Amino acid sequence: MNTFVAQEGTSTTPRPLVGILWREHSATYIEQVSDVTCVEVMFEDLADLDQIPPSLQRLRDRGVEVLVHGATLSLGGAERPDRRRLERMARVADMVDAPLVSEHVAFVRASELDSWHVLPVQRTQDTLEVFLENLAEARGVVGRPFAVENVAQLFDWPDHEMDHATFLREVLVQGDAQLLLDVENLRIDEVNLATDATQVLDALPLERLAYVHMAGGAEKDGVAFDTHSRPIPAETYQLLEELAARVAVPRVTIERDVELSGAEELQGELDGINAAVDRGVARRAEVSRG
Amino acid sequence: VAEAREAVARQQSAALEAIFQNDADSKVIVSKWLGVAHEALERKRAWACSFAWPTTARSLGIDEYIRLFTRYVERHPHPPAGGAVVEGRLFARELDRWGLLPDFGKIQSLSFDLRYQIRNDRMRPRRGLKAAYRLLRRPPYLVLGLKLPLRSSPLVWKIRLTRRAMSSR
Repeated sequence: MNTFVAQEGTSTTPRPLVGILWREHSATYIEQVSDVTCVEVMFEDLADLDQIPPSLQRLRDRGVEVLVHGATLSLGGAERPDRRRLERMARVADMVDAPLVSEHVAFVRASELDSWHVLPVQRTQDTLEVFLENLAEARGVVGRPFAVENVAQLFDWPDHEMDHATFLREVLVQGDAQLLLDVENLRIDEVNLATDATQVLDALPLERLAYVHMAGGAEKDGVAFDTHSRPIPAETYQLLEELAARVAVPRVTIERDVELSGAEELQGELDGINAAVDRGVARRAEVSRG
Repeated sequence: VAEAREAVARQQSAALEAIFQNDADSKVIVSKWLGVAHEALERKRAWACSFAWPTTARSLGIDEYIRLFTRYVERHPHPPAGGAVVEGRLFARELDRWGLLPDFGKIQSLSFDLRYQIRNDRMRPRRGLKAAYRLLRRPPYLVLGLKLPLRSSPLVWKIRLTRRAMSSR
């Protein structure tokens, strides 16, 4: 198993584990890229809970770490998390021996309405209390360390009581959770809501960083969408560099919902990620040398 | 936390209702984002359905699929509780009504109907007897399906239609 060892202040560049969200349609390409050291699997994607898909098992056999991700727990929703979904997540995490599981700081459904999409919560004390209770319940059932992820703000609520970074920090600290930082979502918020991603980075407890999501989304009429359908844009690599200049990055995974063109495309994006991290680490080393 | 849950539930269901209905009068979310959120969720539903029912999406071509799905969403603003598989079947039913369901979609919907039924927007396995048929256009085939009680796999027959058989219909 690959492990990340931060080597602060040395000339050796610490490299994060890198990989992609494992999907059936991309499985062949993922296996072809030897630089993949970490993959993510959506617990909702696995139909058979008695057997790991052969492609995923082959990756595990070569030492690739498998993380379990979810998008339907609706931990930011008013309802208590669905017990069957939590048990399913636990089962998948056990199957692949995941070091941690993750979900979004978001709601997916309310009453009888299901959006099938992770939606931003209103950042109030009420929502925070509900989220923390849901997170505690989820962790109790799943029995693994939990990381929570920032979502792209597809819309905005009026009357927030906290800014985005403050709310996320409270979730992480009070919920004793790890951070799954979606860097592309920070970029999308910059485009749509004119936030400053580097200020958000400065306000987050980055010592809780477990891993990073990279992706590329679509834009229409000046609005950015988190579609996971395009190559990673230069601005998102730049933000990854900013992150790596602040903290050691343990893992980076790419999210791609549309079929990759091939192993070369995946390799190119992994190279881009490693280069961005290298640049960030070099900046951090320079600062620490004074 | 119980009180907090009630407050959050009210806000979130009102927000979702406003987004699905594209209700410009709603003040629950910041209004400039309403149309964007509505379109994004609609697109998400279309993508999810195309993954769940890939043959229909492939036969129509993705641009046509999205165009027809947008038309379908006007009549069905709320996604079903049963998820993308259920929505894909409901969409196929609508396409069939419009005479636009491709042959591959007809076969897929026959296979679904023999195994499952949709009740209250959720799919449930069929336990009893079920017979169904589809007429394919190119080439002309009659596809008959039969699901017997206590048997998980349905029986399917394909009958090539001759000109004589077709004119006698």
